[in-house]
This record gives sequence, structure tokens and C-alpha cells, in this order.
Amino acid sequence: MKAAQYKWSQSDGLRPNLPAGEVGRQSVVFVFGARSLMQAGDLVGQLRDHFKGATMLGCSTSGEILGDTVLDDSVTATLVDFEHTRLRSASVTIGEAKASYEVGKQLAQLLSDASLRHVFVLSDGLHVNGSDLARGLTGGVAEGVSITGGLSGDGTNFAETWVIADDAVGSQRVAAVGLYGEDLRIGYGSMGGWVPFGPLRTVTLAEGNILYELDERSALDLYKSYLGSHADQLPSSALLFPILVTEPKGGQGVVRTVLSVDEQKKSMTFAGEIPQGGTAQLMKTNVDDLVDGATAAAKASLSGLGDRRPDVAILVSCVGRKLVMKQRTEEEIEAIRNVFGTDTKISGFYSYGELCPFMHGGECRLHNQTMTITTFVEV
Amino acid sequence: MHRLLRRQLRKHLGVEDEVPAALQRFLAAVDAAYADFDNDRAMLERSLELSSKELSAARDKATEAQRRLVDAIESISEGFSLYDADDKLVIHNRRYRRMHGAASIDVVNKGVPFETILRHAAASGEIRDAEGNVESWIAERLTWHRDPKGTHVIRRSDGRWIQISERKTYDGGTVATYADITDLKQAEQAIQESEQRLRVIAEAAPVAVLIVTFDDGIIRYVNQRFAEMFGIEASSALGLEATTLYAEPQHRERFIGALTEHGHVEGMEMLFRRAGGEEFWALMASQRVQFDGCPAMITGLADISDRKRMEGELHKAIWASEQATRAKSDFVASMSHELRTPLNAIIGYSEILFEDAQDAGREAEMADLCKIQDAGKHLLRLIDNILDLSKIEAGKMTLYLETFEVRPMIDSVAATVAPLARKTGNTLVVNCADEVGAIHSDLTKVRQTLFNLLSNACKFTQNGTITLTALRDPNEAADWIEFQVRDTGIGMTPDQQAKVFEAFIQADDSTTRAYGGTGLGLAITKSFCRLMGGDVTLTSEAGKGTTFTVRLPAVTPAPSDIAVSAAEKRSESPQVTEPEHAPIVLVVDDDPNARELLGRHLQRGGYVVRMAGNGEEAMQLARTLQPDVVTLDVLMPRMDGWAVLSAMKEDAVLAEIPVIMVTIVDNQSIGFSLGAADYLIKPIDRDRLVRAVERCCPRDAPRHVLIVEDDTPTSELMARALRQIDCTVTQAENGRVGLGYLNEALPAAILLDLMMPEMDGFEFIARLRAESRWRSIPVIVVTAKTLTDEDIAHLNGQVQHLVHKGEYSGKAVLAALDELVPRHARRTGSDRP
Repeated sequence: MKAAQYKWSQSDGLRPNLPAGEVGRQSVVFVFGARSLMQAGDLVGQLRDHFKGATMLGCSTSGEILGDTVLDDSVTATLVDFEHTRLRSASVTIGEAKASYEVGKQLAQLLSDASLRHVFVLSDGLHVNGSDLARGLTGGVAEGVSITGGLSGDGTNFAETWVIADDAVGSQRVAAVGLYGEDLRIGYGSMGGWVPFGPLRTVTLAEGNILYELDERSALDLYKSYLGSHADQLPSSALLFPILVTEPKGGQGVVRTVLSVDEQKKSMTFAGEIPQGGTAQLMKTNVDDLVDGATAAAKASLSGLGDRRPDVAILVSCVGRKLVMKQRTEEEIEAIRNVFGTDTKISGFYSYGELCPFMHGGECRLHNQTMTITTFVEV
Repeated sequence: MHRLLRRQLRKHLGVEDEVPAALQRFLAAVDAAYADFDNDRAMLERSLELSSKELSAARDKATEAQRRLVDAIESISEGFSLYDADDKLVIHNRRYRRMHGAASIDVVNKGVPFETILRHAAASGEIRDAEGNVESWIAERLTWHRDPKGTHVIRRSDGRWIQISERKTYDGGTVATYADITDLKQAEQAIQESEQRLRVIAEAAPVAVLIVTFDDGIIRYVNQRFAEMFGIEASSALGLEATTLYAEPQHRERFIGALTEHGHVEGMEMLFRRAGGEEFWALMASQRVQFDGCPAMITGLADISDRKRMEGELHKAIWASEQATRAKSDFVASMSHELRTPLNAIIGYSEILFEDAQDAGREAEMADLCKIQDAGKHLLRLIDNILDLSKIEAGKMTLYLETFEVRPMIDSVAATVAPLARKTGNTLVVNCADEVGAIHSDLTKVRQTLFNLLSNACKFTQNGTITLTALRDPNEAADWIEFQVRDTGIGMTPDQQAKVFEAFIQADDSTTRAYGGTGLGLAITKSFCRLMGGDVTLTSEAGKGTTFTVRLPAVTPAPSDIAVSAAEKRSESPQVTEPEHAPIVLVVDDDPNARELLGRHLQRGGYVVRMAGNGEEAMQLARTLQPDVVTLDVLMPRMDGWAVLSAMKEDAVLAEIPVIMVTIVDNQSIGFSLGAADYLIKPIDRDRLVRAVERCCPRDAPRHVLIVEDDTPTSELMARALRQIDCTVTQAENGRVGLGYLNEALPAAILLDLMMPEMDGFEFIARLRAESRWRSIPVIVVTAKTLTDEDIAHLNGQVQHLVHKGEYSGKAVLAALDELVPRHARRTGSDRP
């Protein structure tokens, strides 16, 4: 497996220059970038023309990860040339009436066959119920096929997110690449680093991924009182206080972050389901805890690789982490680099949601506020 | 710029505001980091403060909730405990603690394992159930405790019963309540004992007892007697539907209906079926009760099959006996008809022959014919007596009650007996005060009673005196009338007296030979008196004479409504309607009894009678009525008969009216000289009176009479009698022939027999009355049939007169005819007022 990475910025243009000659048939180009830049020039079109024959998959972000750095307002491209592994890509648009579950299932079925090993998914970040999407994807593949990926970002704007598939770029789209063959090792890990605090609250009114009331009081009012002056920056500031949500019947809690708020309806839309009757607890964190979380995710992602270090690692980290860490954001990337060593090509983006199993061999779930890492190595 | 950064620049680089350009971007980043740090810390502190406030509020709420919970747990009436997943006591109330005895109560504390507490209690003998087998009981109790299902009851050694209800909690703990149900248990035990007692009683009861629940009709309990009665095991009867016991489903419906309405049922008789299929009758009593909290009925059954069978046989016997009685009655009734009809002819023809012989002066023949007549009459009486007796025996002798004056009845009986008394040389004395008044009784039977006693007295007395006395005896309690018949005849020995009222027995057999008679008269008399609510007794001395005393209530109570209505019907039927155009007779007499008697005789003779009690009244009525005839008494206060007679003869309007003197004054010459048409001396014989009045009235066209009678001698006899009184006669041998004749001519009256072939009298009457032009023809029924009440009801209103064939039937027929169809029209044309 060989990989090469490129970066385009307003000031420097594309660096390094694109190589001459054709790419291998089993190649995929991961493209992550700011929506405004992708919109301005036909950069995506240029890349597609240049890497003719390669599969292209990417999305808009809330920050790009390339090597050890975290970038804003750039477009990155990472070409991964597999030696033995076969690839296939597919994409599905999200219709008005189409439930996220159906979308996930349909997409997975387009890729599914006996030799399918892994599906890497990138989804619209605003018009999808990530929990249902994850269930649909799981339902569409055979047991043992792992699924990871993330929900595209839009800075801290929460206005429009794009997904780049082979032949199209735009919103309301879910795209994926399937990886086939016996020679591929895949690892993944997903960790947050957040701790719940304050009282345990009951979800007294919620519908799907829309939350209205906690303990029979407006959830939006509760957020505003905790955010104080930060309330002006809703919905992004709400990422500072994700909630730990537990099903009514109990079980492991999942972390959820806000995607949008509706002042009229006093409602908050979350990236995944908020089960009525379940419990919710506000969460907080600090840079050190987040960095520890990233380290743990990196270590977990090694478990599928035997004693090998990954050739390539795709990092999907939540925009909420970036909002907390600000100038110190790169510390979590550095921590991961320390785990992988210098040979691993690292690429990735800050997202509105992460897709990954809780633990190795489990079913794919939607996560929020995590560092989620997918690693590949060919043997 | 952040205050800290500004200070650091001044301290370490010695710059105030003019930062070197090369460092500006770097310093901006540092400044932003400082600001972010402050902001984030402020927000975190704020959020911690908020959350700690929320948490303490939540803690307060939780504390309050816990306090309430503890309060609630303390105030429930049961003991309460909560053991956690490690089975250590977490929460309990005081009641739970106090349920433990002295040996274990101190162990009941938070954190102590369940088993420890249990062992203390069991080992120290606090648990009755654990006595002698502590370890196995503890093991069992732990099993319940770890996998609780429902409730358990344990018995403590102090006599208390504790009901334990345990449940698992979500987190694997065990929550339990402990209810002291000692009172309940004691009550339950009391009920069980009482039930046991009742069960023993029910089992020992000689009647079958069962309990059936009301809603589903299922048998819930039966006793041993039930099992025997129905032939099923008691255990297999339980659960059966009670309907299967009944032989007739509607019996059960009737029973349930009655039970629902009244709540209890007694003395109902129903048909049941044994297991073997045999049906039997049972007497049942039932009561609504509660059984296991459900509405039910407890029922007792006594087998009455034997009684029912006996009742059935009794009914059959009664029915058979009634049938036999009916057959006997029918036989007697038809025999009476068969016997009377030829006897009638014998008597009638012998009378005629006797009259012929008398006219021809054939003395020897007359004596023989007299014997034939006497023998016939004796036989007739005998038949009548037997009939009466058979009616009495059958309880069918009914009373026809009416109110009548006693005096005229006495006079009439005396007149009837007088010839008999004369024949044996006896003097008949009648003592009857006028004040004796009227009584309410059966006239015919009173008459017959007195006649029997008087004719008896005549028979056994030669040349002596027979006295008839009537006395009113109104004592305090009741009003009685007493009749005495005393003779100076042969008398009776005490032995004879004892037997005299028995049927078919006379004083001795020789009596029958010597004096004749049927021997039934006194038996019948006694029965009549008893029937009328009185009695007849006698005192007698052999050789000196006998006194019979009849005591009757002045008002005989009606035996029943049926008899009363029969009497009413009868009193309707002979109601004499005054014939139109019949001659009017004015009877003038100051003695009301005499007036009454004369009036009755004349009414029967077919006359319209008006009465006057004194001379003045007589004159006034004579002027307004213009009577055809006047009968006039002589001895009257103020204006006597002679004065009335003179006044009438002097009055132009009244002078032509014939006057018949009826008096005890034997002075015919004065009467005739004053212009009397006839002169009769009291006592008055009916025939003489009627003949005298008849002579004074002008003759009419002959009356035409149709006789419908199948017996030719009877028919001939009646025809001859009718012709003698100038009637023309047509004879028909049955109803059909009679109707045929009616199509040709309309008779003035019809004499009708009832028992005839082809078409009997009843049908004849029905057809006659259905035809409008025949409807007004008067019908006189002449029958030998003993009429039933039903017969009378049929004839009632349809016929005008009823005459029984017999001794005096010929005369009775003629009298009836006169009454209905007067021999004479009114002499004057004036209308009656």
C-alpha cells in the first residue's frame, strides 16, 4: 500500500505538485475540505480529472487533519494505492421521505458481496439521523463486515454539508467505499474523553432526534443557563455540553451533540436519537482528557492489525473537541502520532458525527464528541 | 490584550504597547489563548456552581422523598423490609422489627443478612412451623425468599399468623410485606368449625341437602342422603349441573322463578330423576345463601314418592267411587222415569174408571179400583222416597230457600191431611198463632216433613186426636221455629224409638203388615230437618202416644253460593206473569192469611187477583177496578160483608158484578137474598172456590193444546182430562212430530215430556224458542225425570211450568194450564189499571 498527500490553500495553492502518470486501479482519493473552497473553484473536478481511474470519496469539514496538523480553510487529498485489496464505491441521495435507516441499508447493499471486508462511509452531516443510518448500514451487510466513517461538517456554521462521491459533489448525499479482499487488515477505535456531571435527568419529551424537555423543563432553557454568555453562539456553543443519553431500559450510554436549535418550538435537534423516558446527563471535559481519549482511540485501532503499524489512518474527530481545544487542538493529533509512529500516513477531518462500533467486532453506531480512527494495512 | 500578557511583556521584555512587529502574530495567539482559558474556566466554574445547586436541590427533594417513603413505610399496617442484592437489610419499618421475638429482635438491623435474622428467629423457637426441623425449614424459607412466588403464611410460636408477600426488585433486592392475619385466621377457623358443625348436621339430616351456585347452576355440595336419593356418589355429584336432576325442565324454571321472587321456597313438589332413570317426587324447601362468596341456594329434598303413589291411588279410588255414584244416580233417575210413567197411567186410568163406576153405581168395581189406585199411589210414594233417600245419600239433596208465611203453609198441610185423619176417625187440631210469621227455609221440605209426621200419626192412631202445633221460639242466641205433631196412638217402646229414624225400619216388621208404609218417611224427615239446620226428636210411651218435635232455624243459612243461585233460578222460573185479558177477582177479607190463601188459589186458577182488607177499601177498589168477580168475607170490623154486598147491589156501576160470599158464617139465605152469586163456607177447598168463580165468568172459545209425549197411555190420559175441561187436543209422539204440527197450527199451550225418542224435550224447546212466531207459546213440562240443576238451568226462562208426573199430576197440569191460558176472558172490556 502506498499513499501520497496533497494540500491546497488560498495562499499557497496545491502543494506538492500532483505527480505525472496514471494511478493504480485499486486507488482511492480521500478529499476533505472547507465547503467555501470547494465551492469557489472546481478543485474537486481538477482532482478527479487528474486521478482518473481512482475512486474518489470526501466531504466538507469543520477542519482538516493532514499529517500532524489541523487545518482550516484548506482542501486535502490523500491518495491510497492498494496492492491487493479491491475497491468499489457507491452513493445514495437522501430524499425528503426517505428514512435514514433505508438510506443506510440501500447503500450497504450496493456494496455488499462475499468478499466485502469493510465499508467506509461519509454522510451529509445535517439531514440525517445518524443512529438510524448506522443501523441501516449494519442491516445491509453480512456479519463480520466492519463499518466506520463520519458525518461531514460545515465549520461551526451548521448550514450545509457536502459529500464528494465519484461522480457528484453536494449535500443530502451518503457515499461509501467498500474494501474487498483477504490481504487487508483493518483497525478502528473511538473514544471521547468527556465526563458526565450534575444531576441525572429524565427525558420527559422527545421525538426521534428532537429533544424538548428534560425533567419536564425546557431543555433549551437549561442549556442557555449553563452556557451563560456563550448562549449567543448557539447551536455551536452547545457542543461544549454534550449529553450522555441512556435508553429507558438502561445499558451503555451514548454521547450526543446538538446540530440545531429552534427558538420557536424550544426544541434542540441532536445528531442521533434521544429516547423519551431515558436519562440524560450533561457532560464536560478539558484538553487533557480529550487528548487521553484520542490516545486510547489510537491504541484501540491497533487491535485489528496484529503487530503491524497502520499504513494509513483516517481520523474523524468531532467539531466539539476542536471548540474546546482551540489552539491546542493539534495535541490530540500529536498524541495519536506518538502511538502510530512516523510511518503512518494520517488524514481526516473534524465532523458533525462519527460512525464506528463501540468495540472491536461490535455493531456500527453513531458517536458524538469522539476521536474515531480507522486504520488500514495490507499484508 | 490580556492583563497577564501585558504584565509579562513589561516585566520580561520591557515593552509597554509598542510590540515588535515580528512578534505581533505570536502575541495575538498567546493573547487569544489567555482569553480562551479565562472564558472556559469561567464557564466551567459557572456550570459547576449551577450543577451543584441543582444537585443540592435534588438532594433535598430526594431527602424529602425518602422521608415520605419512610413515613409511608412506617405507617402501613404491615411489616416492611427491603433486602439488597447481597441480601442485607436496607430498609425496614418498626412493625417488621416488632414481629420478631426477644431472641431475634436485636439482630434486625441495617446491613444484617436475611439468613442471619432468619436463623436467630428459627433457632430460638420463635417459629412454630420450624419446631423440630429448624434446618429444613430455614432451607425452605430461603428458597421462597430467593425466588418469591405469591404469598406464604407462617405460624409463630406466640400464636400469631404472619402472611408474607415477597417480590424481587430491579436491582436484585427483595422487598417484602408482613401482615398479621391472626384475627383473620381465627375467624376463618371459627367459620371452618361452624361449617364443620353444619356439615355434620347436613350429613346426618334425613333429607337430601344440596348447595347450588346461582349464576351457573353447578352443584357445590351434597350430603349422604342426597347421594342415596339420587343414586350417585356424593363426590361425582359435585360439579354437575343441577338441571340434570330434574325430570321436567320446567319444574326447575318454576322453582328458580319462585326463589328469585321470594328469596326462599317451601313445600314445592317437583319431579326428579335418579341416576338409574327412575323418576320420583320430592318435597323441596330452598333458601338463598352465599357460598364461597357467590350467590347460591341451599335446598332440602324429601322423597315423597310413597305419599304421591298413595295419593294417586286415592284419587283413582275417589274417581272410581264418583263414577259408581254417578252411575247409580243415573240409574235411579232413569228407573224413576221408567217406573213412574206406567204408574201414572195406572193411577190415572183407575181414577177415570173409578169415576165411571161411581157414575154407574157399580159399587163392587169401585172398591177394586180403589185398591188399584191405593197400591199405585203407595208404589209411587215408595219410589219418591227411594229417590229422595238416594239423593240424600249422595249429598245431592239441595235446599231451595225462600221466605214464606208459616200459617198458610200449616193450613195447606192440614187441609191435605184432613181426609186421612177422617178416614181413621181422628180429630185434627191445629194450634198456630198468627204471630208465628214468616220463615226463610225450604217450603217444600218443611211441608213434606210435616205431612210425613201427620200422615204417620194418622196411620198409628185410631179414633184419637192429632195435634199440630207451631211455635216461634226467638231466644237470645237465635230465632227458631218449632213444630209439634202429637198423637194419642199406639206409641213406641224405647227400643223402637231408637230405631225409628233409620231407613227401611219400622217399629217392628209386623207394623209394616198392619199399617203399610215404606219405612222411609221418618228417615227422610230426619235428613230434611238436619239439612235445613235443625232436627227432629220424639218422645213416646207405648200405648199412650207419640210426640215428634221439629226444630228449625227461622232463617236457614244458605249451604253454599251454588245452592243459593239454584234457589234463585228456581224462584225465577215459576214466577207467574199475570196473563193478559184474564178475569179480575177482588178478594175482600180482613184476615191477611185468609186473603193470601184465597189469592193464591185464584191466581193458580188463572185469575188476576186484587185484595181489599176492609169494606171501605173494597168499595173503592170495586169502583176503580171493575172486577169480574168479588169474594166477600162477612165478619169484618166497621163495614161488614153484608153492608158491602148491599152497597154494591145498590150501586149501578157495581150491581152487575157477581159476589161470592166466603165466610165462616153459615147463613146462605141472607146472602142470596142480598144478591150474592154464590155462598162458600170456610175452610175453603180450592176446587170449590175456583169452580164457583168459574161459574160467575162467561165461557170462551175452547183452548187448543198440543201434547208432545211418547208414552201413549200418559198422552191419552192427559188428552182426556183436557177434553173434560173443553180443550181441543193434538197429540204428537215426539219433538219432531210436534214441530211438524206447529207448522200447521198454533196451539194455546204445549204439554211437553222431556224423555222422548228421536227428538227429546230439551231440543224441542230450543227449536221452539228459536222461531219467533212460536216463542210466545207457553210450555208446560210434564216429566217423570228427576231434574238436575243443569236441567233446570236449561229449562229456566224457556218454559212456564214444570209438573212432575205423579199422584196429583193431572190436577197440577190443569191448574198450570188455567194459570197460563185463562178459561175465561174478562167480562168487561175495560183495561186493567
